Amino acid sequence: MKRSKIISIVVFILFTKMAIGQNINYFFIDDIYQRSYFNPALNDEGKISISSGLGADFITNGPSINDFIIDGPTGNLILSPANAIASMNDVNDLYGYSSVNTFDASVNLPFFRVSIGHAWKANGWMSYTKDLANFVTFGNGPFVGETLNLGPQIDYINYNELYLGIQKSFGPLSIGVRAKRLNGVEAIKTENSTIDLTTSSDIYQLTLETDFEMMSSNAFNYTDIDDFDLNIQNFSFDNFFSNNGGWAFDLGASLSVGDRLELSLSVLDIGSINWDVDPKKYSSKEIQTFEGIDIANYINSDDEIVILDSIESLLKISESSAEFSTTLPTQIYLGGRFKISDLWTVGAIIQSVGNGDRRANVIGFNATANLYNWLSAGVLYSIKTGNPANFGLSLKTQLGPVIGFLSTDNILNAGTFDGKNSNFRAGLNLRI
Amino acid sequence: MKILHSIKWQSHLLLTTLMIIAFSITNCSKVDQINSIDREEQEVEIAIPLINTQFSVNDLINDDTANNVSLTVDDQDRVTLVYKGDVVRQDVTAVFPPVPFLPTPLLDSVYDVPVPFASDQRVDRAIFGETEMVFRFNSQFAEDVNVKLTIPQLTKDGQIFEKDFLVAYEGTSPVDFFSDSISILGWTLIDDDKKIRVEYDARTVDGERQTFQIAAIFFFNIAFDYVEGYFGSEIFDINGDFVAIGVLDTWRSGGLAFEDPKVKVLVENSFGFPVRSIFNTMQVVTTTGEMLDMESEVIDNNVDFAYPRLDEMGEVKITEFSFTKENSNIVDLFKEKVRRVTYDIDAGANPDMDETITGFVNEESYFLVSVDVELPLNGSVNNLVLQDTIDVDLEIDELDDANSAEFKTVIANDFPADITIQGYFYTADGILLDSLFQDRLFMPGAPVDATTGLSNGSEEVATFESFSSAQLQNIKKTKKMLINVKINTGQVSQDPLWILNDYGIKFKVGAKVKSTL
Repeated sequence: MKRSKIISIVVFILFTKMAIGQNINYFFIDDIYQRSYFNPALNDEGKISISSGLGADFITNGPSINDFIIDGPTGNLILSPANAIASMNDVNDLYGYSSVNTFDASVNLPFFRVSIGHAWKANGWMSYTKDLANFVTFGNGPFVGETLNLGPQIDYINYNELYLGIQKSFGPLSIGVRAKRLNGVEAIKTENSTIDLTTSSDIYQLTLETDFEMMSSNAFNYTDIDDFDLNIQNFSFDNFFSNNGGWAFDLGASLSVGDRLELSLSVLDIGSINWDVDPKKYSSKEIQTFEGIDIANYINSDDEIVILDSIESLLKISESSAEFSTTLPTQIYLGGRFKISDLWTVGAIIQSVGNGDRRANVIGFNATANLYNWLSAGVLYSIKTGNPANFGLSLKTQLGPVIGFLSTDNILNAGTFDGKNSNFRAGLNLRI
Repeated sequence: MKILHSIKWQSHLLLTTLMIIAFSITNCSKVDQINSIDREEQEVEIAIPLINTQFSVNDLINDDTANNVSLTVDDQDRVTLVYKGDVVRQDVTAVFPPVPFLPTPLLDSVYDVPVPFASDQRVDRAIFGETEMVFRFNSQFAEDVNVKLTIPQLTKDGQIFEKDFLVAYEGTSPVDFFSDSISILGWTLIDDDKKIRVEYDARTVDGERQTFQIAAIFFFNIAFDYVEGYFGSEIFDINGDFVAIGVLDTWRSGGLAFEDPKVKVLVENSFGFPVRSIFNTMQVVTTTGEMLDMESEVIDNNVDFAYPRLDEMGEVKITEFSFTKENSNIVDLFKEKVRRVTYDIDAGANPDMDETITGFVNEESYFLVSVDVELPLNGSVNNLVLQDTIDVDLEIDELDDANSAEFKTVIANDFPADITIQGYFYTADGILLDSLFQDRLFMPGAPVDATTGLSNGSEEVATFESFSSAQLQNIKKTKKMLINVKINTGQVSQDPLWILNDYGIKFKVGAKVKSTL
C-alpha cells in the first residue's frame, strides 16, 4: 500500500466524528464463542458452546476523570470542574457502551449450526460544550457581552436483545446470519440542540435563542427548569417481549485460506427500535429575552414584582407525545489473522461504527502468543478516532472445556482516572 | 494442544514482560483515594437584568379612566393633564319629582281634585307619563249601579277622558268597588288653577242618579313627559362633588408651580327655561386636608346657562366657563399640594322671575354639569419630593449563598430638571433594612435650549453599587420598597419650562451576584 493511502486511512480514522463499538482485541482470541460477536460466520467450532460475558467501553475527547481531580492541601483529592475546563475542547464528546451477554448457546446440527442468546446493551453518546461547563461552573457573570452555546446533544439507547443465528460452512467459506429481536428499555435523543444564551454588556439583559428538540422514552420528564427527572436505568428487563420493539440483523462471512490465514467480513446491527413507551418530544424554538422588569407597569398597580419568574420563563419548552425510532449504530468489520508459527499469530482489523455523519473508525494490529496450552496472550496497537495510539492486551486461559478471557484495547492508564479511552471485555465459555 | 519445548523459554519471557508492563502502566493510580474526594468550592457569578424601564410622561400618566386622569398633547407635543370630575346629570324629575301615590276622595259627584304643583308654578299644559289611576266606589245600594266617569280637563286626540263602570250587587251591601288600573300615558292635562275636575254619573236600575257614600280616585306615579308653563324660582341641586388630583398624591415636600392651571365647567342644558349658576362652594383641598376657597368673578357674578326656547325644543344648549389665572386665584391655590378640587353648584330656575317666559320641560330634558381640572405641564419645580411605596418580593433563595453583589445602574434623563432618587428596602412590618444607593442617585437634567426652552436630550450615565453578603441577606427580607424622588428645575432654568410628551427617564439596573457553591 502506498504511503499516501496509509496516511489517508489514518487521517480518516482520527478525525471522523466519534461513535463507539465493542473493543476489538478479543477478535484475535482463538476458540472463544465471543468472536462471533464480530461476525456470525465465525461461530464455526465445536459441537456445543455455551458462553456468557460482559464488556464496557468509555471514550471521551474531552477531559479525563483525572482532569476533574486535583490534589488537596492535605493530600486528599478534590473534585475541580474548573481544572477540567482547562482541558476541554469547544465541543466534547463522551461515549459509553456496555453489554451484558447473559447467555449464548450454539449447537452444530447436521446441516447448519444454530445459536441463540440474550444480551442487554446500552449505547450512549453525549456532546457538551465548553460554554456549558463554563456556565455551570462559573455562571454567566464572567461572560458578559458573550454568547454561550449551552445546548447539549445526547443519543442514548438501552435495550434487550434476543437473537437466533445460523451458520453454514461451504468448504473454506463460512456464512453466518443472526436475527435479533430488540426491546428498548429507554432512550433519549436530541435532534436540534441550539440553546444560546447571550448576556448583554449593558445591564446584563439575557437572550435565550433555542432550536432544541429532544425525544425520550421512559427516561426523561420535564416540568420546568427547576423540576425535571433524568431516569437512566442499569441492567433492566423493562418492556421485554412487549413494547419499544425493533429488529436488527447481523451478516457475516469468513474465509480460511489454508491452515494459516483467516479473513472475515461482517456487518452488524442493521436495524432500528421504535419507541412507543411514554414517548415524549420536548421542543423549543424561539428567541426569548429578559431585559429586566419594566417597573413603569407597576407604578399604578398593586401587582408584586417577582424577578425569578421572569428569568425562569425564558426557557419555554413544549411537550408532546410522539413515537420515534432510532437506528442502531451499524458496525462493519474487516479483519484477518495469519499464523506465523505455533507461538505467534498476527492479525489486523478495521472497525467502522455509527450512523450518518457520526461514525468512528478503528484500525488495529494484533500479535498473539500461544504461551502455554492453557494460556495465550495478545497485544494490540490500534488507531482510533481521536486516539492515535492505543495499546491493548488480552489473556485467555483454558481449563478443559472451559475457556475464560480478558481483553482490553487500551491498557494505558487502565485502573487510573487518566484514561480517555478505556474498555474491557470478559467472557466465559464452555465448549464441547 | 501441545506446546513445543523449544519455545518454552520464550513463553516464560513474554509472560514475565507482559506482567511487568501491565503492572507498571496501571500502578500510577489515584483510584484507591476516590472514597475521600472532596468538592472544590467554586465562586459562581450570575449576571441578570433587574429593572429596565423608560418613564415617559405618557407612561407615568397615561389615560387612566379608573383614576379619572387623561393626558392631552398639543401640536407642539406639550403635555396637559386633565382630571375629570364625575358628570352630574339631572332630568325632568328634578323639576317635577314623581309622586308615587296620591289618594284623593271624591266628596261629591262633581269634585275638583287639587294638583300637586308648587304655588309659584303655572302649568299651562302637561302630558302625563307612566301615570295610572284607580277609582273606588262604595255602593250602599242593594242593586247594580252604572257609573259614567268624566274628567273634562283630560284629553287625548281631542277626546275627553270618559269611563263607564258597573258596580254589581252580589247579595251583600255595601259593595266596595275598585276599578282596574287605568293608564293615562299621553293624556294631556289642561290646568285650571291647579285643580282637576272629576265628575261621575251613577244611576241605579230605575235610572235615578245617585251619589256614593264613599268615592275616591287614586293616582299612581304621577309623572309628566311634557310640561309647559312657568316653573317658578326653583333651585335645582346639581350636587357637590370633587375632582381628585391623583398625580400629586406622592407629593411630600418642595414647591411646584403651574403656570396656567384651569378648572373648566361645562354645562349642557335642554330644559326650556332660564337657569343661573349658584356657587355654594368652590375650593381646593390640600394633601394636609386644608381647604382653600377659590376666588373668582365667575363665582361672584354667576353664570347664566344657555337654554332652548319653546321653538327650539329638543336642542341642547352648551355653556362653558373656566376658572383661570385671569379671572381667579387658581395659580396661587395650585402652588399648594392640591389633592382635590371640590365644588357645589346649584342651578336657579327663572332667576329674574319673569312669568312672561313660557318654559317647558319634556322627558328628554336634562342638565349635565362636568368639571375638569386642566394642568398644563408648564411651570417650575423647586426641590419637589415625590415618594411612593411598591410591593417587592426579594425572597430569592439563591441569595443565601451570595458573597456579594454589584448593581449597575444606567440612567438617562430627558427632563429639564435635576432628579435624584433613593430607594429604601422595608420589611412587611415597615422596618428599614437598607437603601438602594449609598448616596442618592443623581440624574442631571438635560440642558435646555435657551431659545425654545426645550430639553436637548441626554446621555446615559452608568454607576455601580456593591453590596456585601450581610447586606444581601438583610434586603432579602424586603417586602416593600419606598422610592423617593427629588426634582428641581432651578439648576436648569429659572424660567417656567414645558414638559413634552417625548421626555422620559431611562432607568436600568442589572446585578452581578457572586456565590460560592
